[in-house]
Amino acid sequence: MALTGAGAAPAAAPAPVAPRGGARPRARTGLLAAPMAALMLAGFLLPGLLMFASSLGAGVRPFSLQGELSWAKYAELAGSAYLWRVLGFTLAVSAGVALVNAVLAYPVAIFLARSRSRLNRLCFLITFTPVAVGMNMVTMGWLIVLGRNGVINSLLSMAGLTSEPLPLVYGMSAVVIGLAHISFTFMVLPIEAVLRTIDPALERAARSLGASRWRTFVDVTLPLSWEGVAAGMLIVFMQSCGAFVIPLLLGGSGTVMLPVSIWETMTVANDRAGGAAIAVALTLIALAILAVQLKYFNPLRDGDGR
Amino acid sequence: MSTPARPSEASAAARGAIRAPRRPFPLLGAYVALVCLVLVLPLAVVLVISFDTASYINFPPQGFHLQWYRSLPDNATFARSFANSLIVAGASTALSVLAGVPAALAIARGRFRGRGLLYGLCLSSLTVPWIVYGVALLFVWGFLGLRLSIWTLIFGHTVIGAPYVLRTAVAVLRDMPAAYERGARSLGAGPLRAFLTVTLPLMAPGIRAGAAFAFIISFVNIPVSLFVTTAENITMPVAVFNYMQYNFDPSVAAFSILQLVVIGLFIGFAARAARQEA
Repeated sequence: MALTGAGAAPAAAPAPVAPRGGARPRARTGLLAAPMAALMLAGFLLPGLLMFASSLGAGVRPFSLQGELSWAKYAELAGSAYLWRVLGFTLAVSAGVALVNAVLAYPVAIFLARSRSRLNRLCFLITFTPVAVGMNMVTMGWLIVLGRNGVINSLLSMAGLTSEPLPLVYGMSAVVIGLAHISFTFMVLPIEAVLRTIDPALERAARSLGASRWRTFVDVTLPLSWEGVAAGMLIVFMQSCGAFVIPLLLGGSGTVMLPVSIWETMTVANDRAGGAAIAVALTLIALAILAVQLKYFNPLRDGDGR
Repeated sequence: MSTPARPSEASAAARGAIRAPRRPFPLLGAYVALVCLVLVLPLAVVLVISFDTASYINFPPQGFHLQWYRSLPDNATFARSFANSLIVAGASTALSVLAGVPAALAIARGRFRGRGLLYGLCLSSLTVPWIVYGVALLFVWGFLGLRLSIWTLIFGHTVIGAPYVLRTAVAVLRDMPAAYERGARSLGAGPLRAFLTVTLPLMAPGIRAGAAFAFIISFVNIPVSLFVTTAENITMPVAVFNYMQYNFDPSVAAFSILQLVVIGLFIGFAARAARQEA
């Protein structure tokens, strides 16, 4: 580690190793991170441990934990057919959303990465709206579009195509639409980032060797961009597994996902230990996805300078 | 590529493909326009409904008036939650910057063992779904023996917001040669002076972008606030969420548009910062 250049930017040309900060050891710079490290220890790791302790049946009291620890809550949940169905539904819907979004977002990523149109910037801004406007806005919008007296049903009945409003909302399709919408940004961005790194000379070479545009895309561009697609699908999958507002408000009793069941257990059933146990299970899913991300698409790879 | 094309096709392709085509695929533009339309459609209908004269959600709207906006301040929950959201987002953003910027200096400039681990710890709150953190926040508040208050939310939103500030600040520092600071130091500036006069101004666009992001994250967040919300500390998105579960009328659409205006201001702020950076 001592051999790394003083310039922290890994891509920078090896600068002459200038004399280090002099009298002040660079190690002391680490103390600057103390407030944030303390914040994360007290604000994130401690709450996580307390949540785990409560899922084991401990009663959280001021500065103490009471009661016997046991895995009873987990055994109870593992015996619940309802919860297994919720888990299966959560994973299936999230995988579906990731797949649908990959197909929908890929062309948009190509446009953003390649088009020199002046509308490029506007398109970029629009792909950011789902993250920026929040869940409420997206949920409300789709309730109005898909609802009984909503946009689609009014148009259909005005056109004389339907006599009864179609049940578009409060079901799986509305949940998938909402989740795909809210996570669209996180699918487009990784694909777009990878597409930008592909040397256009490769595609030009394929074209000049006689490949059609389509063939160039299938044989050159697409294989080179799988990494972005996979990275985006993982992020979208994880986000969908953790989504709460959309499955609750756009879905119904048949579309309960894990976060909704946490909420139901905590508030409706008033079972804090049970809610904590489901939250621990959801954390394990998230950490498993994170492990895959770190192994294949480490965002810190050129980060920690080691 | 593997199938040789007929000569005439090959030469035609070669002529057309000297430069990257302006439009990679025909119809791509039309498809992208359609997707963009679908992405903004829900926002547009919320805007339209917020002016509706009907007292229930209905399409097409029955008329146009501003009554829903005028009566927003009369809804005590809405008024209180709007103020609370501004306080929580403002305070948690300020704390995120105060914690995140020095930590970024340590991580990008320091040379010590365990730097990667430290960075991982500081980004750890990004790893779990927000609703999980919302549950955990409820337990920690009980453990600390504190009553739920607006501070609970400021604390929780700082924990999820600070990593965003840290990440953008680290990114800026990595692109910035340490030689600038060394130059200032060798000309006799103390570490604090070198930071305030050289490093900080150069970092400012990145910090602003990260801060705007932290603000928006806080301003729209529901799951983290959900379990620690009381009648006093309720935030805007939680108020909207509660309202939507039981009654759904154009007033909540008007309230959401108000939220969107605030978010728009902060995105403009971040976009300007990003342009300065470029």
